[in-house]
Amino acid sequence: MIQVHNVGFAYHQREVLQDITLTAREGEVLSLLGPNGSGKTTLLRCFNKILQPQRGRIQIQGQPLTALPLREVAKIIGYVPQQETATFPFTVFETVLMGRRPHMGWRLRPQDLNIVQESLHFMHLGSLSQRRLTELSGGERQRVAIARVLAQEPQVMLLDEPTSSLDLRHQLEVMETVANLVKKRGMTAVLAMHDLNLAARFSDQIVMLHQGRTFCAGVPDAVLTRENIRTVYGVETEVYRRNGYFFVHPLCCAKGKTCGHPGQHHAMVNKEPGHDQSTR
Amino acid sequence: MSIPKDAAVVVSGPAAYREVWRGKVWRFLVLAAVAGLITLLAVTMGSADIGLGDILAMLLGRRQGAGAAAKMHILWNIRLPRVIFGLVGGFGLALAGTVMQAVLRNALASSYTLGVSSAAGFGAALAIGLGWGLWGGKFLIIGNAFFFGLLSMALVYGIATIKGARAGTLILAGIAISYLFSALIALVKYLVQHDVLAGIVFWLLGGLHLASWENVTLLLPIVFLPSLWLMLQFPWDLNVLSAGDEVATSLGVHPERTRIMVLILAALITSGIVAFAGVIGFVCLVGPHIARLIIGSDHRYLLPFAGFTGAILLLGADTVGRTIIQPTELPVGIVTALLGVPFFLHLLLRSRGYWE
Repeated sequence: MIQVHNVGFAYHQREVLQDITLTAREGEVLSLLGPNGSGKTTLLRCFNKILQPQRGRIQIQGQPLTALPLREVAKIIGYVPQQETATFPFTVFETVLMGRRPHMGWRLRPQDLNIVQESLHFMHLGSLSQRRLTELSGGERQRVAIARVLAQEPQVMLLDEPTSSLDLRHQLEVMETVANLVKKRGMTAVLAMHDLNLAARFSDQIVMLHQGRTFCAGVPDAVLTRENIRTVYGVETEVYRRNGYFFVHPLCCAKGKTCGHPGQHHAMVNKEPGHDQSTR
Repeated sequence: MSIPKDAAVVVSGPAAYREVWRGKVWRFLVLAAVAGLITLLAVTMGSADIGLGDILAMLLGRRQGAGAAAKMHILWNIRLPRVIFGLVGGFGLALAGTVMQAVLRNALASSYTLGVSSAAGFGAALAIGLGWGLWGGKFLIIGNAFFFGLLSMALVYGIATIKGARAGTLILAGIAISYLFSALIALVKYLVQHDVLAGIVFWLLGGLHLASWENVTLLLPIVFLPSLWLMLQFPWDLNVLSAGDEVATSLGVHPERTRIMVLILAALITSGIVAFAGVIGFVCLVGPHIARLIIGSDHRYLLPFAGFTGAILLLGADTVGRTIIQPTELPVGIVTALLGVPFFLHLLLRSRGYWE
């Protein structure tokens, strides 16, 4: 469980986050939404001490984050970066083995190897285990990063835009894996997301950030309304439910916001059937 | 966390790992054999004719014949220190290069990147050219080179404490300092007389001619204490740093602290070697890559493997250099590059996915 209370963060006097308060519980997927620069990644990095917030409190499993040494934090929280870098040609096995770093000394114990092997199998990487990371595709690297987090055995997973470099199939696979892990093992997952539809489908709770502040928070249906999306993203959308799934369908850039060609907005809005212009 | 059994888990972790491990042990054995062979060659080859029989006789303490004493002297006081010097120097240079490449996340990092080599060269040039040094006597050149090598690291460290020890910042700071000291070397060369200039040029080419038991006993602790520390304390942290600072932090490693600590140890090792042997850049840059291509990137194995690779490279090149055009010697820096580059390119072109 992560409890965040009034957290504020600034890079050299520039306020990036202000008064963020949220709670992510066990068995819960929480998605952070918001346009580029709204502070999603910065907030995520405050949770495991990559960044130190100047104001507010963060508690992990009931303990204040500031009181925990980095290695203890690493035993509780795992992190999947946006893009897995590979400076030198480590094998998949060696990369996943790095997840054991917070738990062991110089020597490997048999249980470390077992956990690594199980994580590889769980992410369908068994056949790739001796391949070099530099030879893999973006989707495969993403799976390796998640396998490493599994090997780390954390109670909380942080994922920074886990689907942004993946094709359709792998996007769904990754999200299903995360949701499964959270439900089966009572873990907590906090995701920074760009895809509103994936976030709507797989999240228990959504926090929408706007210019470094919490714009709104709650279950997907309550947060992902046309009005909220227009204000935060500057995009006109159609939002509907079909076959039990929640859909956000983008239509065009909202008027008065700086994107696209201003002259075309009106015509496009008019063409769209069922769109009520009076809401604008 | 226990992985649910519905994931069709086949627990073969330790077994699969052991197979990979056996492959690494095998490579280490081959490396040790090559190192032993080159050491024997280096001891027996040279202008004085010393065979294996002489070495055996010396080891057994039996002396025969008139020339025995002379041979003994050459073997014990000239060849052996030089062989050990080559092994220790090569080991330290390649190990230092490996850890620098790891913490700076840059395949081109070497003792040049942080300015250690050019700063040490400047210290030596000052001593040779202008007779200026911190110590007098026989430590004039060595002491000066060592001091300036460490000074360059202190400068880089100073910049890092102000701007943060990110890999990019350190590389830029190091290269700037390297250029500064290169310019200062050029200045000293410009100012001095021709005969003194030759001495500076000769020193900068690098070589193992300063090898003596006294120097070897000085160099050994400077190389091996930091090396041992790096090999025992840092392999996992170096592995983790390869995945980026954010991931390293999330796995419990302080990236900037680790980076600074490792670089200080590496600078200590290279300053020591450069002080005695001059600027030998190639082993530091390419030794780690040859080792990585053969043994892989896991620093638990890579650090010792790179060390022994460097030892073989430097000793082999020195042996070729001092025997190929007898009685003259070719500078070891030239030979390492001439022999090592083709071998390195061969490995590089043969491997898949080593560089993206």
